[in-house]
Amino acid sequence: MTLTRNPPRAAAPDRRRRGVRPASRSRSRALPYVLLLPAALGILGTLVYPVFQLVALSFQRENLADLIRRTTTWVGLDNYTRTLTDPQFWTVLPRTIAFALTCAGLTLLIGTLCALLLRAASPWARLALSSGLVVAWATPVFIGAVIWRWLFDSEFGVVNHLLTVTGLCECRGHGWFLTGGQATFVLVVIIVWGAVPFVALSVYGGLLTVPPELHEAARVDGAGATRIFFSITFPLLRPVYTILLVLSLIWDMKVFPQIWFTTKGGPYESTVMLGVYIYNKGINASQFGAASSIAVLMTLLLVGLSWLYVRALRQEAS
Amino acid sequence: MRGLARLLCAVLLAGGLAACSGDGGEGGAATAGPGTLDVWVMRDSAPDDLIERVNAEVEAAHPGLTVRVQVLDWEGRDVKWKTALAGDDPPDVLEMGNTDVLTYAASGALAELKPADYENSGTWLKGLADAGGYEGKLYGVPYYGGTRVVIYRKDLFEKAGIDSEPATLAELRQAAEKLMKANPGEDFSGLYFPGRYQYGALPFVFDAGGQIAAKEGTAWKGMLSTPQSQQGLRNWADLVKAVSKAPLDVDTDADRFVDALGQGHTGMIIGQAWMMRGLGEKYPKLADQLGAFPVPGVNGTMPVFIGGSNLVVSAGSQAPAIATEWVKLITGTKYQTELARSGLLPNSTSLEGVVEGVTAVQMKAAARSWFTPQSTQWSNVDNAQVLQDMFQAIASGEKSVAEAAATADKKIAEILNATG
Repeated sequence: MTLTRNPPRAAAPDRRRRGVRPASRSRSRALPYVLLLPAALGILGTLVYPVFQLVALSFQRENLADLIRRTTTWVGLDNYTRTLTDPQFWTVLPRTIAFALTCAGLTLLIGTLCALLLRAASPWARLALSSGLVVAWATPVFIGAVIWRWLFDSEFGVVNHLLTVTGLCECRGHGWFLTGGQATFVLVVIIVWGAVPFVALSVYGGLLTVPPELHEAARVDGAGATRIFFSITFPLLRPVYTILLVLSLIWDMKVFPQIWFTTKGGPYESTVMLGVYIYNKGINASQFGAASSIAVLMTLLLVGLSWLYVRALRQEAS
Repeated sequence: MRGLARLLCAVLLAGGLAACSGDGGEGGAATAGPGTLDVWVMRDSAPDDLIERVNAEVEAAHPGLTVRVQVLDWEGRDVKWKTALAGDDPPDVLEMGNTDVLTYAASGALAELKPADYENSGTWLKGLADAGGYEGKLYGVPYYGGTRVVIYRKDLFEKAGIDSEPATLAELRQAAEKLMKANPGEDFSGLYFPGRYQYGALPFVFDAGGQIAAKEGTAWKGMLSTPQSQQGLRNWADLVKAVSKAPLDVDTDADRFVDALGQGHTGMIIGQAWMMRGLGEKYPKLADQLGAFPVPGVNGTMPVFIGGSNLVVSAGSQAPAIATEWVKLITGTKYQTELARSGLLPNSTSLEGVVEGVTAVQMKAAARSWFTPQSTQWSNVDNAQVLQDMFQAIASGEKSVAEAAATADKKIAEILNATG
């Protein structure tokens, strides 16, 4: 490391010796900042300002009348006490975490299997599989949700039809959205379907970096496929998995359109996750302050997860 | 080039770097003179050419004025309204669903209107007039109504040997059973009734003398557990279990209704009267085979929920006088008569003489009507899907009527008594 750091230091006096004038030196020092400015402004406008607004809102009473009359009433921690004493918050929060863990776990599992398949497949099969993955990935989230809703429709759905035709079950007219359990199952399917491509392609990318000699050596030593995966591939790809797990958890925690365009949180509010809870409170019930407090709490939770992500990134870098 | 300039403008604005001066016709509030009148109507409301003629008449009276009409989709309308009404230059006139008006009137977003300014205000349909009021003042002028009616296939009725339109609940069930006997398909429903179809099912509660919620003093109380309401729920469940094969986990969905009837999966639906137009267009062969009658109750017609729209003027309108003029014109006898002929229920009972066909059936049904509880929190009951869940639980047999009603009552009281 020290070797690579030295040359630039040595180069700086060099430039001075060549007679670079002070004025242009300060200009060249400013240039990087000028070039960063548009991006910084963009982030400021689209991320920092909304987050600032969100935090401010969470300390205000802001309902529809306040919004229309443009009145601002600071209420301190009122919104937070309300949220933290709302029994629904305490059913929705653990449900969301459990849901995100299930989705993320399944995504990683299926993603890994797809990646291994990609590596093992013949070139044309690999092309077909990776094209399929990319197409699924490219499908807009809400269109995917609407299509899945129809696939699972009790009356016209393909799923019921296929299950009945293949004799797996007598599923004609079966309602997938009648009970919370099955509705949640459908949501998991939709979300995992949408998330697998990213994981599969990332893991596949990781797999390509594993030197084939290691596998050959292991095979010579008599290791089976499972043993090779857990003793060689997985340890080598651990940083990749850490990052994918954290990212998947973050994405699955804040999931919204997949639920809104299928169950709207029903039946019996059994599929209300944090995103839907915030939307109902804020957009539907016009309690913007209260909704903001939930959003801030959720943000803190996600920042915690992101911190893990950044730490994992740093570990990988070193 | 202009498109490109606008795009650049938009990008710059989005980045917060520059403000663009309006180029031609985008003036809004800043323009001198009467400028523009912004009117937001909902999809599938009055016919386009009728609105165009109203616009032309208002524009003729105010030289230099342009009326800009924007059509909104019902899905997601609240977000657009809230954003626009809180803005600097809100639309002047808005069409709102009659259940929507109360929330916005209470928030101070709407201008108070005087009933005396409007034609036929003495004979407005009760469901629409009630919906437009808040604390004794008028905020929404009745625009048009709509009630649910039974739409049926005359050919299938004939085949099943049903020679008259059912007038009581018992007759309705008999007719449905006859239809099922004549069409022994596994998916065939005598009356197609999805399990979460709350606006189809709630009339049964009112028919039996029950109601959804009532205000006792200052607090709301759910009323679905009362003996009358429970009787209504049982009447509904008995009918649905006997004659409907429709999915239980589905709410109202116009396409589903239209296709079920059009493709012969059922002989009857309880649908919005305007669905008849869509049915005739999608299944032209059926156009002259469709009939409609008021939903029959235990004794005579069932009390219907009057749906429909009201017109409101925003409190922040830059041209309130012209806005009310526009509203006056389209809600007056002249245009309401045309509207009635196009198949919408006009806003006044005084126009009874001009309605015919299914609109006359609706007018007849509207004589006995009910409305959702007049609470600004009511939309939250809707959003939490309390009633849909109750109906589904009863229809699927997951809960008894008493259990499901008690759960719903508790939830309703919780939501309606919550403080904003």
